[in-house]
Amino acid sequence: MTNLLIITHGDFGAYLLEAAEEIVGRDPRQEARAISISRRIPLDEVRRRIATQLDTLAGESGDGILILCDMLGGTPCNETLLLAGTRKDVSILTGVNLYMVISALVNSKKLGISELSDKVSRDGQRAVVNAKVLIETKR
Amino acid sequence: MPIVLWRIDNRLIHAQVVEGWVPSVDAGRVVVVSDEFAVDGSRKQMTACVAPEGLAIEFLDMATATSRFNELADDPLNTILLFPAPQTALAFISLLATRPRSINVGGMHYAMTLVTLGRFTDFSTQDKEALTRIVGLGVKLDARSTPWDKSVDLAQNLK
Repeated sequence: MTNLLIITHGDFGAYLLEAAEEIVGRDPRQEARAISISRRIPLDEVRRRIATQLDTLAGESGDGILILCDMLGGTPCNETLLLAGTRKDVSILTGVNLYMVISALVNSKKLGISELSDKVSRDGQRAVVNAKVLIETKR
Repeated sequence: MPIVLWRIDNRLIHAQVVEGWVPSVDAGRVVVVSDEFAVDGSRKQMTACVAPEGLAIEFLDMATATSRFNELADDPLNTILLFPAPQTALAFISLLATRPRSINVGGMHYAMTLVTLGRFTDFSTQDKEALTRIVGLGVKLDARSTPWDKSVDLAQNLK
């Protein structure tokens, strides 16, 4: 099983997990964690929290850790890349949305880290649609 | 002078800089001035990879930044100078013949919260000392995270 770590500006990630729980129908907090980063948290503390969660998740019978960050170039992603960018058991995707979290939770038992990150990345990109235009073109 | 922003921010190039300051001052280049980060290969590589297309990123040690200062200032490309700490900014300014009119103090996230709370006395002694010396050089300290925040004049609060 691949474990999941969401790292975002503010409490966005924690709320994504809460929202995903209602859709996947189970509490994802066994295999998934969220870290909130705000300007109130000193940088050392940010690094410490990410490192602690990586250790915890790696120790929990995981085949790897899929990290979902919000913005490429943002502090959550930057610090994660510096801490875990070269680890083979870790994948880091940016632009996290609810589809990606759901896709990760639904597929985390079936897929290894590499296949899972490909799948979640594809699902996340498919989630961005101009819905009105889609409806108009299909009408 | 196309050095359009001087900023102290321990998170260096991150969302507030890329999404906030770069478009606001129309910067085409961000120069991180730091002896420590100029030799930090993984930080440099990571930053270069995640930077938006078209934004030039450079990490310069203090000596190189000093010798290239006039060239950067004369370049038509707008440049943001970024310092990881007040001490770095102070050291750099001390080496120059000219002074910036103001420096944006935007990082040091915990410290910025204290600014918001009006608890300036909680700055670390070293930070406070360096900031006070920057003010002593005639430079205004413009404390705010993003261009949209209300600017706070730190000098009024360091006493």
